Amino acid sequence: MKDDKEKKLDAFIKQLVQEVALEEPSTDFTKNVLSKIDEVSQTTQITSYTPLISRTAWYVLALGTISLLTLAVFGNIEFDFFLINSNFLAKLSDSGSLLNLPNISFSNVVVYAALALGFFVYVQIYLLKKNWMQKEVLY
Amino acid sequence: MTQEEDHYYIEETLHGNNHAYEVLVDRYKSMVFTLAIRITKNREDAEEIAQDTFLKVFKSLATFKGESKFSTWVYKIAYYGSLDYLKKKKRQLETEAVDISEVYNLSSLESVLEDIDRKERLAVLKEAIQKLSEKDSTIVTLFYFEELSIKEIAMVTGLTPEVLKVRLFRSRKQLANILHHMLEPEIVESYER
Repeated sequence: MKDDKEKKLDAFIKQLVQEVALEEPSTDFTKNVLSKIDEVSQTTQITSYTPLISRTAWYVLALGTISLLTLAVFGNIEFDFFLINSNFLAKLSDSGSLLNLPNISFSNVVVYAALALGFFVYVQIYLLKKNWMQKEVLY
Repeated sequence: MTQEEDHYYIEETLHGNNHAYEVLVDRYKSMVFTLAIRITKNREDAEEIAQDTFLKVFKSLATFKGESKFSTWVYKIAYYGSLDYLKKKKRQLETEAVDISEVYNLSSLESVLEDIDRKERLAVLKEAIQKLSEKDSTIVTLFYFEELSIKEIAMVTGLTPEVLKVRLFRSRKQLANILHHMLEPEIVESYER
């Protein structure tokens, strides 16, 4: 019964909206649009898609990368860069003083509290989203 | 109005043929203009917005990837353009308060509408649609006139399908109520006869 009523209303509204049809803009609408476009295309060329990095640039980049890689693998390059200096790295892993990170431990309560906080943040997100949806329906 | 046809004219336009764009403008101008009227409730504003819409479409035509229908893409630009325009003008539109209690009686509405002559009926119907909120009258037009699917309207308006269904359900009732209030004297008269 209720569905039937809803269907009738649906058909009624459809017929009504179709009868009203569309509004027609002024007769020289298209002409106005085109003249505006002409103005624009005179000042700026039509923005067709041009890639930021052109094809030739990609080839050059690829060539450069490949040659650097081959040089690194097969070539014999001596370098003495301060961080990659083998001496420095060895020193770093040997000496405990440099990598003496504090040992932090959390109590169970803190861990549970953090988990609970995370959980409630998600609940909040869910509730807020629902609330916004409601607003979208209304306004 | 197939998508392939649209695609052909889009390609032509991108190759610098402005006459091809003319075809596209002619094809969609009425719908774009109507959407702008539904939102701004004003012909002059709507004309300006519709022209701007086609200018924007032209400028960003190269970015149209063809993932959606060209028409829905254009409508989306028109929809947001119109809402922006309203925001800029900070105009608060007067629309009927939402009321979905059923005061109307469908059969008496139908018979009264049949009795009045076509010209007057059109005016009444137009006014009734304009009394819906800007979003609702847009959704109603896209759904019942353009016969877009809920999914496509979701693409145009950015509202979720659930929200759209609620809005459509409510708009139907509201529209019938608005018509009832507008035609009340005639309805009473028809009862007395």
